[in-house]
Order: sequence, then C-alpha cells, then structure tokens
Amino acid sequence: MGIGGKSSPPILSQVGAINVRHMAFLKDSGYEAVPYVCAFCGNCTMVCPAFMHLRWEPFGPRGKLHATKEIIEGVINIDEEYVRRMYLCSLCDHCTQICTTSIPLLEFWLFIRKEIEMFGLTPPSISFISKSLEDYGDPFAMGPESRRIWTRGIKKIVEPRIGKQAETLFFIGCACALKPQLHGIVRSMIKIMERAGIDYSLLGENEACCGAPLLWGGKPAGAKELAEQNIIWFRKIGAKTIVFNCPTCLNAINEAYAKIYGTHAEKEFNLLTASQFIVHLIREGALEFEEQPLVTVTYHDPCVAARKLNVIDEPREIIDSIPGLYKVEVINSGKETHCCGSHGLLNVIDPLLSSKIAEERLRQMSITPASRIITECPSCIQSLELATHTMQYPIAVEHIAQLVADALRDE
Amino acid sequence: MIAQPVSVASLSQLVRFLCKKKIAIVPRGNGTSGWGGALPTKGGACIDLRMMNDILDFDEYRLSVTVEAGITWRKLLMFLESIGLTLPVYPSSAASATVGGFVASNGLGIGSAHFGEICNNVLGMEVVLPNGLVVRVGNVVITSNDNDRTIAAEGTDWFDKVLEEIHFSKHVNPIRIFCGTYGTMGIITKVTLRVVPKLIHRSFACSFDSLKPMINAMVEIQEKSNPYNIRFIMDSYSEKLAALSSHQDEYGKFIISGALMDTLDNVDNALDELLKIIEKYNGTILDEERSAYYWNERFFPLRIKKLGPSLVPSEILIDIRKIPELYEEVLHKIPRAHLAVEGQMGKATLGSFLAWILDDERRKLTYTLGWHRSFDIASLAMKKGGRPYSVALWNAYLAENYYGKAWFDELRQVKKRIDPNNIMNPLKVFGGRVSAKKESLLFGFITPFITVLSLSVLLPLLLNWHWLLQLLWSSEYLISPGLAIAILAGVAGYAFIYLMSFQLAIRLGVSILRIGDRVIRRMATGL
Repeated sequence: MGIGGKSSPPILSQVGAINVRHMAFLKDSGYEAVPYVCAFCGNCTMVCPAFMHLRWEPFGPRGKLHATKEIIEGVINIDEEYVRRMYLCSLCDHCTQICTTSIPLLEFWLFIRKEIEMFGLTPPSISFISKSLEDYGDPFAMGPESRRIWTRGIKKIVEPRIGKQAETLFFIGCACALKPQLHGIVRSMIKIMERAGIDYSLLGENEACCGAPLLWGGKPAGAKELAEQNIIWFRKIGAKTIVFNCPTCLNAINEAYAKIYGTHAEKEFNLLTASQFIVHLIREGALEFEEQPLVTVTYHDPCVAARKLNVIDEPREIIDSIPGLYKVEVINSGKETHCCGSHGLLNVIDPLLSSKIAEERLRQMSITPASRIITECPSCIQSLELATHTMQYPIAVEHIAQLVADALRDE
Repeated sequence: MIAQPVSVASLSQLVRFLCKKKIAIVPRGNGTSGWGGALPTKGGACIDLRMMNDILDFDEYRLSVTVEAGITWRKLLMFLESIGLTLPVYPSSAASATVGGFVASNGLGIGSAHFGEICNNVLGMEVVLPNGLVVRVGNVVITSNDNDRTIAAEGTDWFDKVLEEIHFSKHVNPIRIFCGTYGTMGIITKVTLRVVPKLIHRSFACSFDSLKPMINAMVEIQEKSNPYNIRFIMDSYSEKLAALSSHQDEYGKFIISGALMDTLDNVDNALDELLKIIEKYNGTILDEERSAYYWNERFFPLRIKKLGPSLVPSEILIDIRKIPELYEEVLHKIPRAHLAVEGQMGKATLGSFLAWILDDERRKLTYTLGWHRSFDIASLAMKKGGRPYSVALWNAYLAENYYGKAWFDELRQVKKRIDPNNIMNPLKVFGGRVSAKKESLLFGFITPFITVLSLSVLLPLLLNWHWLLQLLWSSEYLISPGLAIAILAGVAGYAFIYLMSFQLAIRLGVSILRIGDRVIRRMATGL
C-alpha cells in the first residue's frame, strides 16, 4: 500500500502513458496544496546552500516548488532531472525557518523523496546506502561486529559497560563508531563520563543506525524500524537518559518515537545532545578544568541542533565555563547557521557540491580570529575538516566533547 | 536569455551589445514584487543581479554603506546590526528582496514612519544606462579599491551633458531618475545608503475593538511619539492570523504594532506618551511577548496565504484618515471571509493600504477573472485621493497619477534621450505597444468579422429590409459587399490589436475580467 491508501505506484517501464505519474503524484497526500501556498517570494532561495553554489533558480527551493506545481498540473513529468534537483538539497531546514507562508518545507522535501522512491526513481547511490542500512544496520556496509573497533586501547574500561543495566546510555552513532577519524569524539565522551563518575551503558553491536539516512532516502518505514530497534534496546537496559554524539541521531529517534507511539519521547526518555549532557555536568560541578592558554574558538551550530532541537546556548555555556577560552561568533550562527553541506545525503549524491558548501562555511568562519572551530555534529566535523584541506586553511575542527575532555583537570 | 553578471565592466559590455542589437533588457533582483517590474514582456535578456551581492564600503564617520545591488536587505541588516547600526528603511520582504529592487521601486517599508520612503535614504547610486555607459549620481562612497571609478567618470560626464541639454530641473536630485522608476532608466549596480545607529529599541503592540479609534490613535502616535515603525492590522487580517496560531486573544481585533528607536530618555518619554494615547482611545496594550511576536511578524505579511492558498494583492498609498470609509466600501465589494487588510505607515499621515484577497489559483477561470478586484480596490482608493503604491507593469496606466504630470513629463524626456529604442525594461512605467501573440491577433480578426457577418444577415431579416440583404449579398460583384465589409471589420480588429498600447490593453482587460466575473458568479448563484 502506498500513501493515503493508494495502491502500488505505476512502475516506470510498465506505464505506457507517462501522465499517469503526475496524476498520482502527491494526490490525497495532504501535501498537494503546498506548491500553491508558496508565495514565490524567494526567501528560501536566498538562504539555500545548494542555490548559493549552483546559482540557478531551478535548484533553489522556490524553483523546486515551481517544478512540483508543474508536475501536478501535467506540464512536466517526474524525470531524472526532477529527481536530481530534489536530491540537490542538504535538508538543512533553513528554508522552513524563513518561509513567509510557514510551509513545513523539510517535511515536504522528505515526502517528495518518498514519492520518488515509490516511483522507483531514487538515485542509485542513495539506494546503495539504503541497502547497506537494511542489510548491515549501518550506511557503510561494515556490520554490527565492527561497532567495537573504537574501543581499541580502552577495552578494559568500556567492555564492561556494553549491555550493562544503567540509567544513562551513551548512543554512539554509526559515523563515530565506524569511522576512525571520529573515534576521538567517542573516547572524549567516555573520558568525560568516567571523570564525572556517571554510571553509563553502551549498546555495542546491538546499536543500530538511527534511521535518518533511510528517511532522507525516501524510506521512512525502514527508518522507523531501525529507530524502534534502538528504542527496544533502550528499554532493555533500563535507560532513562540517552546521550547522543550526533544531534541528527537524537532527532531521528525522537521523531520516530512520536510516529510509532503517538506520544513524545520525553515522556519515557531524556534524550540529550552531548552539549546538553555536558552542561548539566558542569552546572553540577562534576567537571573541573585546567586554565587554557588563551585559545580563541568559534562555534558552528549544526543545522539540526540549532533549528530543530534549539540547542544553541548550551555549547556556548560550556565554552564560557572553560577558563582561558575566548569565544567569537560567526555572523550566521544560532538558528541562522549555515549548513556544512554534508547533511541529507548531499555528500553522497554530489560530493563536490557538498564540499563547496563546506568551503563556504569555512570561509565565513575564517574571517573570525578563531583558531579552532567547535561543533557537535560528526558529519559537520568531517566536511569542515575536509574543507580545511581543500582550502588549505589550517584550523582545527573539534567536537564539543573533545574540547571539554582535553581541558579537564588532571586527576 | 538570462545573464548573471558579476562585475560592472562585464555588465556594461553586455548592455552595449544588447543595445546595438536592440534586444530588450529586463533587470531583476529576486523578483519579490507583485507588480510585474521584473517580468520580461518582450523576451530579450533578463539580467539577474543576485551574484553582485557584496558590501563594498562602510564609512562610520559619514554613516553610509555602499553595496552591490544584488545583496539582500537581510544580509546587509545582519552585517550592520552586528556592529550596532541599522538601516533607516528596509522592506518587509527583507529576507529576499535585493537592495537594487527595492530602491528601483522606491517602496515604503519598516522604518518609513520615521524615515519616509527609501529614496530619501539613498545617498548615491551607480547605474548602467541602456546604452552601456556607467553613471554615478549622488555620492557613491567607495574609499578604496574603486575599480569602476574610471568607466563611471566617462558615463557620468555624458549623462550630465544630457541632463543639461534637456534642461533637467536643477532642484531635483538626479537620484530620483533611477530611484522609483523600476529599472526603466538603467540597471542599478551600486547603492550608497544612509545607516543609523541602533539606539534603544522597543517594540510595542496594542489592539482596538473598532477601526476609527485605531486610526485616530495611529495619527496621534505618529505625531507625538516619533515612532520608528508602525504597522496596522485590520480585523479581517487578525482573524486569519489567529486561525493559523493557537493564540486567540486578538482574533478579529484592530492592531497597531511597531517600534520606537531613540536614546533611552527619548524612548521612555515616547513610550509614556504612547501609552496615554492608547488609553485615550480605549485600546488594550499587549504584553512584551505579543509585541515581540508582532515585531517579528513584520517580515511575514504573507503568513495568511496558507488559507487561500493563493492571494490577489491590491496596495495603494492613502491618507490613513480616509481608511475607515475606504475599508467599508472594500468590504462591501469583497466578502470579509476572503479579505485580509493590513498596512504600513509612511511619514505624517500617509500610509499604505494593503488588501490581500484570498483565492485559489487551481480554479483557473474564477481566479483569473477575479483579478479585476485588485484594480477595483485601487480605483476606489484613488477616488478618495489615494495613489498606486507601485507602478511597474500592472499600474503603468496610472503612471501619470503616481509621479505627477510635470515630473512624469521630465522622466519621459530623459527616457527618450537615454533609451531611444525603449529596450530597457520595456512596457514598465512608460507603457508602449503590446507585442500581441498570434492567438490575440486571430481573436482581433475573427470577432469583428463574425459579428459583422452575422449582423449583415440577421439585421436585414429582422427589419424586413430585403433590399439591404440583396445589396449586401449581391452576386454582381467579384466579392459580395457584406463579406467585404466583414473582412474590413476583421482587418480593423486585427490592426486594433496589433497597434494597441499596453495602457489600453490593461483597461480593456480589466473590464473584460469584470464582466466575465459577474457572468460566472451570476451563473453560479443561478445554479
């Protein structure tokens, strides 16, 4: 069954009359009026990171809505060009925030991707990721047994934590668990929790992807399944507070929870980003810091953390709590933050565009006197770090947990 | 053709080429205005200026900022506010409107209650003329790296001579030639704007149960409290806004929202005065949270579009004291359920009256026919001394009324001299001949042809004038006179359409829409 009780969609090769496609497109979905609500004011276009680089109206949100309208009216058909355009988007949600007619654009883009998937037109690179998630439970086709590779060297400390009954659970996420470049973030979080004396637990190979990449790839049902798998494990180990390295994972599980159980996740769990968790520890006096040698840092707000989760003040409070650190703001910060280019599978569909967006973000930060960029999203770290190489602008990019762990007073 | 120039020198070369080939040029910012100023009416080249979006100079002593025309007001505002300054006037569409676009349309915006229209706040401009020459008018402040100074000097000399030749009024600032003429005189490339310190800033909001006290309060606030900005919302708008949110306290109320911006002492005094005025007219003062909400809403006047999902706008400038009677008449014409009215104060008692008519473009016939309502509201307002808010394309037939005859004549003279082939944004402001499509020309021929043909048969039969019938359809001639007359009528109709001016086309078009709308509505009622 399809959306809104529709029967299975026509498959490309089986449809003689291609018009069948636009007739079915968005029909009875509840989203069919969206392109008409758009005032075509262009607010969204002017903040769209993809448009900023492609510089062509059809690639901005306004152009995408216009194309969708034309599909509904039968002027054009859903073809590869349309699909490509819809995927040249990092789902950064800036367009939703600035939309003059309050269209829930992020929701709409995700729904369009779902429709595209139903028509069998999802780009192959995205399908590859989806398949990997379905087969291995992670987007890198590495499998659950690889989820312990980060423990090398600290096995004695962390092995007993895996599967342990505890009120606090540390959700590591695929990127941090499987990419050696990001293992430092996990180790830093472990150091912080150990130092604060937290009784925490880890899921090890039982941890599955949060489901976000499947959602972005037009498979919300699969995303829900993965999220549910994790939620079941949260319950099994008796977790009350779940700490996430990555705001996207938190958001995906939070939203999936609401869809599965019809209620807010906070009724059962306290889902926290790394900075929200650390700021609690600092306020409770559980962490003590060494004086830093006058380091100037700037904070890059990850899209999801700032716009979806409203986690803006917490990381700044952490920075202000560490003596010797000086914080400078980049103009586009907080809810106005610019995307790093890697969100929404844009780095899979068009790595070059993704990298250009990261370079632009780095350029914005390079005009501050900061010598370190702090953020709390592993994907942002990866893309910004890559940009430091492509732009040959040597600046350190760190997770907030790394900043805190490095500044902790020696025992 | 769409071009996205990145430098004045390349744009100048492109315009020279287009001028030589007599190709129409349409300058475009982000296309946010609803009056058709950026619509290509005769094909040609659309010049998208969004890639020229840098802040070129900021002078803290002169309090000026020079920018490229394609920068958005929001980006500029973010920069200025980060250093404790702000703009005297910026549009409610600041998030997407470009500086060049708003300056070209000389709009009223946020801050106009204190600082008037945007042109009063433009210190200088650089423009590429329709012949490709680069001109600077007023004071374009660029203290270093002024790469276009040389080419601009040559063009400015030429332009000054032209103004002398046509005896252009010495007392008019030449900025006015380009500011508010919708890109018909040239492509704006740089603008130097006045900036002001962002002093103590307080937003306020109050609600009223009826319109007249709100208007009286607004007039008095404007006179005594020296506000930075005032926006008003009618009951028809507030009820729709409430329908989209969970907050219902101001449902169906008349609301004034705005901000004061001055030194601490002055703001405190103004605020005291403001509260007294609101009390005097039995208004309810809204709390800080609601004031902040309405202040933030200044950027989202289209929020209510969701209820349409389409909107037909109508905006005019009028003495706000005339608004109660105008509003009553508008409500008489358009059912309140389909109407949402709001407005923005300008200087003194001038204000914009912005009526949004909710509609649904998916019902193509009624939606298209319903557009006459926009023009009807404008004519109602003009009968009360109002003038169009904007001219651009759709109100080009009201250009003389908008600019005043003397100034419009001067503008026409300048236009004729600098753009003899009328390639720069054709049809806008100055009108001109419509390039009718084949279908329209065919319609022009067939309608009179069939009408005359039918009349030449029916009329003699009805009047029992058989002699006329014989005369018209006599076979003595190579072609019967009746058919010849019908063909002549067809040719006349074709010529009429072919030679029709845009102004006439709009007038005729609106009348046809009005008649069609009435017929459809009657039919619907009858059914």
